[in-house]
Amino acid sequence: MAFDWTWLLLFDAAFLVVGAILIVAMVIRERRKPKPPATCADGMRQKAGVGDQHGAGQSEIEEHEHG
Amino acid sequence: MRSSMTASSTDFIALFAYAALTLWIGHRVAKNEGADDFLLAGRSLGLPLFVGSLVSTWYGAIFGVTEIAFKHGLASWLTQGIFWYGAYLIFAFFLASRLAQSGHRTLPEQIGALHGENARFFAAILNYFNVVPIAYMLVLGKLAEVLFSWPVWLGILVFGAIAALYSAAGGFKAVIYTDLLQFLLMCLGVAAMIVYAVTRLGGADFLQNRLPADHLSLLGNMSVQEIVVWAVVALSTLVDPNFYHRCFAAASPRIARNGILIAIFFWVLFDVCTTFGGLYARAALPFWNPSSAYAVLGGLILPAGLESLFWVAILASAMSTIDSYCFVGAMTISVDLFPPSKETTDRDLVRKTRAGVFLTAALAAVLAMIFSGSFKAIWKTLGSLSAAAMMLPAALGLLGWRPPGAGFAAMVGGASGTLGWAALRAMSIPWALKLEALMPGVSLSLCCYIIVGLVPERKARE
Repeated sequence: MAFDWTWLLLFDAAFLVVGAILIVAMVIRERRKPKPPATCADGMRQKAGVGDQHGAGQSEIEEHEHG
Repeated sequence: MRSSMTASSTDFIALFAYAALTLWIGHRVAKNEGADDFLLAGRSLGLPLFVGSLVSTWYGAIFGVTEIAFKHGLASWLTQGIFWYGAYLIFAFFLASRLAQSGHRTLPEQIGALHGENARFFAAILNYFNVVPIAYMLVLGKLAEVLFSWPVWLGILVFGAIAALYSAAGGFKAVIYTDLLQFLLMCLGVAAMIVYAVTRLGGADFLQNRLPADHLSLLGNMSVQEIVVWAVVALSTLVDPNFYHRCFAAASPRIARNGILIAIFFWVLFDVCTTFGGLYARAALPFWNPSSAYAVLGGLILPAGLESLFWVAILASAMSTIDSYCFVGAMTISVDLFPPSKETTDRDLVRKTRAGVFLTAALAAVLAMIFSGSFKAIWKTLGSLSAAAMMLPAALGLLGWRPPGAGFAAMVGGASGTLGWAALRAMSIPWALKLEALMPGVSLSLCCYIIVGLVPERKARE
C-alpha cells in the first residue's frame, strides 16, 4: 500500500497557524514588557521619580555617573 | 459556498476592516524620534518582529507560486522553495551578522563601503528600479477587478495609496507592524485553504488519481537547464534589499541570523501549503486558467467567513511586499541617490523619505497601469539586471575579498552581460532563447571581478 501523506499536509497547516499565532503573541508580550532603562542615570531618574534632566535629583544622578 | 468570485458583503467588510487596521497601525506608531527611528525602527528590531516582517514581505504574489505548481507540479517546490532555502541559509550564516554589525542603512551604502562611491551610485540606480513594486501593484488591481468589478486602475489606486499612506506616516515601524498583521492573515488564509481542500476533495489518493504522473515527482516536467537556472536565480537573495534592511535594523547580529533561520521554517510550511494548493487546483479544475485556478478553488470550497479571510490573505501578501519595497525605494532616494549633506537634519531626511515613499508607489502604480500586459518580461529583466550586477560584489566583498576596482567592474560587467543577452532574446535569436539573461550576466560579472581583482595582486608581486 502506498504511503498516505495526507496527515502531513494537515500537520503542516496546523504548524503554520500555531507558529504564526505564537510569533504575534511574542510581539505583544515584548511590547507589554516595561522597557529597561537605557543608562544607569536613566535608571536613577526613574527610581527617583524625576521627569527628565530638569530640577530635583540632578545632583544625585551626576554623583552616580561620576562615582 | 459561492460559485463566482464576486465579493459578498462579508468580503467587503473584511477587506475594509483590514485596510482600516493597517492605517490605524501606521498612525499609532507614527511618533518618531529621529532618522534612525523612522528609517530602521531605531535598530531595535526583535526576533518575532524580524521573522513576521521578513516572511510576509518575501511572499508577494501567492498566485504566482500556485500557477507554477499548477503547471509543473511538485517541481515548483524545488525551484521556488528548496533552492531558495539554500540561499537563505548562506545569507543567515555568512552575511546576516556582518550586516547587522555594519551600521549601514541600505544595500547601496553597504556596497559603497566595500567598493567605493561609483559602485554605490550604480548600485543605487539598479536597486531603485529593482524595488519599484510594479508586479505587486498589478496584483492589487486584478484582485479588486475580480472581487469588486472595479477597473484595474482603481484597485491599484485605493490599495496602493493605503500602503503608501501608512508607510509614509509611521516609517519602518509601520511597515514591520503591518507586516506582522499581514503575516498572520497570510498564514491563516493558506492553511484554511489546505484544510478545506483535504476535507472536501480528498487526501493523497485524490491527487494521485487526478494529477499527471510527473506532477508528483520532485523534478517534474522541467528540463535540467531550467532547474539549474532557478538555482542561480535563488542566489539573488544574496542582494535582496529587504533582507539587508531587516538585518541593518536588527537589535543584534544574533537576531539577524536566527531570525532568518526561523523564517526558513515558516517559508517551508507556507510553501507546502501554496504548492499543494496549486496541485489541488490542477486536480479539481484541470482546464481552468492556471493563474486564477487557485483563487477559483478558494471560492468554491471555503465557507463564507473563511473565504473572506482568504481574499484578505491574498491582499495582505501583496501589500506587505509593496510597503517594504516602497520604503526601501524611498530610502534609496533619500540616502543613496541624493545623499544627505552635513547640513541635512533628521527632519529633512524623514521628510525626503516620506516623499520617496509616495513617489515610488506612484511610479509603480503608473507603470503597472501602462505595462499591465507585458510587465512580466520587463520586471524579470530588471530583477536579473540588479541581481547579476550586485550579487558577487556584495557577497565576495562581505566575505572579505574586495580588491580595488573589482566591485565596480563586476557590476558593469554583470549589468551589460544581462542587458546584452536580454537584447538577443528580444530579437528571438534561437540560441539566446535557450538561456535566461541572468546566467551570462553573472558569469561576466565573475570574470570581471576575478580579472580586475588579480591584476593588482600580480602587479604588487612584480
